[in-house]
Order: sequence, then C-alpha cells, then structure tokens
Amino acid sequence: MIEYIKCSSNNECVEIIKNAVRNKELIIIFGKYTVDYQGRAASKLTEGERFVIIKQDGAIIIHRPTGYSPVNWQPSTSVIEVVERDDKVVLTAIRNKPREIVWVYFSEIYGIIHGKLVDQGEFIMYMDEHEIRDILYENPELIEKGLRIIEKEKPIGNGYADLFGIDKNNVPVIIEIKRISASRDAVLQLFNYVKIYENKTGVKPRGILVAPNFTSSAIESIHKLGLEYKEINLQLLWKYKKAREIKHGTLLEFLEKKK
Amino acid sequence: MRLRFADARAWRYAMSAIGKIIDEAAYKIQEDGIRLKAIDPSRIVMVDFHIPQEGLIEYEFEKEETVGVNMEDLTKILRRAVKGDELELRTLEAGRLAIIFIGRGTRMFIIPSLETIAEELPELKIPFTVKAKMLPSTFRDIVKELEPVSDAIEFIAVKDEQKIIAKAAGDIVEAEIELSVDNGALIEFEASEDARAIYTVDYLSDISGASQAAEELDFEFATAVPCKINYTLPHGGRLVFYVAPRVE
Repeated sequence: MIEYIKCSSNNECVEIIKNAVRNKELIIIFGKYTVDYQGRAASKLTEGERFVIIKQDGAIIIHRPTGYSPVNWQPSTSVIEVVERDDKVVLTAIRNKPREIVWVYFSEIYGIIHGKLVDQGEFIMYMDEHEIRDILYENPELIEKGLRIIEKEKPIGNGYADLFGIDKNNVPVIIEIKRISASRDAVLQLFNYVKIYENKTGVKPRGILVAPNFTSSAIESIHKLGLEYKEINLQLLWKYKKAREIKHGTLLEFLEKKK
Repeated sequence: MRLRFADARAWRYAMSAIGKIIDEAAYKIQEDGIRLKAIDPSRIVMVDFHIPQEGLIEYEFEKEETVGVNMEDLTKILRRAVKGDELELRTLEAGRLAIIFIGRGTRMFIIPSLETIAEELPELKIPFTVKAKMLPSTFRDIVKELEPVSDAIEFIAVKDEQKIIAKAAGDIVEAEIELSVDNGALIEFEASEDARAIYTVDYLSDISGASQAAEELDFEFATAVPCKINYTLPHGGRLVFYVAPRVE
C-alpha cells in the first residue's frame, strides 16, 4: 500500500523515512534541500525544490523539477541514515564500492510518499534472437563485407547454428547469435559447432560469435579458441526491422518493366 | 588522367551525398568527361554523376579507364575543400589517385584506387508527369522541415492549381508544405496530370546534402514511380538521383 504523508515536524519526517528504509519500501521525498556528493569526484547542489527517490533496493535518485535525467544518483547503497541536525533533516547514503557518499540536507520537507510495490512483470525487448537472425540473414554485410549466408538454423551435431555462410574467400563461416551479452558458454557452443563441422567435412570453418556485447571471459575464450566476434548495434538492427515492415519499390522493377 | 575543376566545394557536397548511398564508386574516365553511375545495395536509389569535358578547366585524357574509390576515404578528404579551392584529380602509377586542392597553397592527398568494375546500368526511362524547377536550398528545406514529422514524404501534384504539396504525417503531428511558382517556392512547374507518390525521407535527406553543390534542381515524379532529382552543378556538370517510391 502506498501512503502520502505531510509530516508536522522534522522529527516525524525522520521517523517515517527511517521506518520506510528499514522496511525496504519505495520512498519519494519532496522538499527543499541541498546535496553534497563525495566519491570519485565531488559536487555540491545548492538549495532548491526537488524530490528524492529511494528505491526498494537502496538505489537513490535525485531529480530536479525539469529534465529527464537525475542530477545525483547512487546505483546502490550500503547504508542509508536519516537524522535531524541543526533544524534540518539529513539523509546520508553511503555506497561502499566504490566509496561514494551523498548527503541531502532538507531545510523543508513538503511530503513523503512511501510503500511497497510488487513488480514481477517481465521486460520484453521487441526484438528476439530470431528477428536478429533474420535481419542478419537478409543483410549479411552487417556482419562482414562479402559474406554470403546460405542457411539459417543449420543442424550441426545435436544443435543448430544460427547462420551458416561463405566468406569472400570461400571459407565456410558458422555464426552464433546472442541477443544479450555473450558469455563463455556461447563461445563454447560455437566452438563445438566449429569442431563438429571440421571433423565431419575436413574443412576448418571460421566461427563468429555475434552479440551486442561480450563478457571479458568470452573474449578471452574467443581468442584462445581461434574464433572471432562481431559486435552488433541493436539500434541499427531495429532500424532494419522497421525498414522490413515498409514495402518499398525498387528501381530494378522499373528497369525490368522497361526491358 | 588529369582533370581540374573550378570549384572543389561542389565536389565535396556532391560526393558526400553519393557517399551516403554507396560505399565504393567506379568513376569512368571517358573522352567526353568523367561519369559515375551506381545503384545502392537495396536497389532503391540510383546516382548518375557526370562532368563533361567542357565543365573542366583542364582535362588530360589518355585512355578510357575506371577508377575505383572508397567513398568514405574520398569524402573525408574532400571535406578539406574550402571556398576558392580548385580541385585536381590525377591517376598515378600503381593504382593510386591524387586529390589536389589548389587554393591557398596546394594540398595533395593520395589514396589507393580500388579494383572495381563499373556496373553496367541501363538508363531508367520513367514516364514522369510532373516536373518542377526549384532552388536546391528549397528542396533541402522541404526535407529538413518534414524529416522530424515522419519517415516518408508524400508528394502530391495538383495540375489545375499548378502546385505541389509535400506532406508528412506522423503519429501525432502532420505537416504540409505548398510549393508553387505563385508563392515563390518553385521557379517552373509543369504537370500533365495529377500525381501522388511517397518516398522515404532518409534517402531524400541524404540526397538533399548535395544541394550546397548545385545551382538548380529539377524534381520529377509521377504516381507511384521513382522520382528524379536532377542537380545542375556549376560549370556544366549534373548530379542525378532516382529514388524508388514506397508501395502502399
């Protein structure tokens, strides 16, 4: 349940915030305050009317009344402390690694919203691995110039390689695609396809792992196993996806008509 | 081959627009001048660039040849062109191309030329029904103003009213620009019938970059056929783009 409270004294405010922090609630505090930050750098925000959000996991976000991005933030906190000092409510948020501290000095608190929210929904990206594969199938130049894709979902051993093609030097290429950060497991999966293909045909194929980003252990393994990787830009793929939905005539049709 | 062109900046803007459409270009060096004809990989845009011999200050022609160039390399260098620069292009031994700016001092850049074969493209003969002459900057402004509204621009020609309406409609916003000789947007207008066609704004935007290189622009289209954007370059060259329409 969410509650909105207009506290009558600083002391009451302190108690409400303290309790809410203890209960790991979502807290939004509206008020007039200054902010000090010390950590990898140091900053000072002079007095103004704004709001602070303390999320259920301890993340802190300080927003001014305009603009979409916060002016100060703490991705996670180890300790959140609230005390009354010199007629002010002081909120101290400490992050241990890296050591960073944010102090918020409220000269006035207009109101507090607090409560527990339950959110078990799934975040769905509107482009799955199959869509990425299809876009790359149609536009292999996004992986490499001169690459020709021959097969989608090529059965190799007990699995299926996402894409299989031939590069400009006629060397077979096995491509494995990951929608999110590619890990070492993905590298091993690709290596497995490469080995099976090589054993079966006697031809050593190239193995390319395609993903928006790669863990450092994945990159290390790629180098050790003689594989390759290609970073793809999901935003660019999204453009291609939108373009696929648009029906475009081509000039060739007009040339052919005239033949 | 060695050629010298009076305005390096015209090349700068023309090549920068072409470079957005194709990655590699094969320039044909012919007796009557230099020509580049190419189609983009998606077959939606075609470019036809031609500078006749008369448009060049100097032209030393030995034999017909094809000079392949990486457009990114070329446009990067041409960006150095400033007002008052003349441009010299010279083929060197070992398949290299010298790009020389002659203005305040002589600046020479050498790039490797690529082994490319010029694609033999037949002429496009499209039955246009509308032709409008305008300043290149007008065309650029139309695209610039409608680009934030939608990813496509619809051109509607109204024969009886002697005007073209350029329209863009997004989810929330709609925009319309009226172009006619009467309101000063067009220099000339001819239409044999009403026409309506939609073109993707990204292509038009890439192409409109060449406006800074040109003196005049002819825009031709008809219902559901490609449009032709014909830039008249200073000193007699031309830069033509064809863009395929969207299919509704």
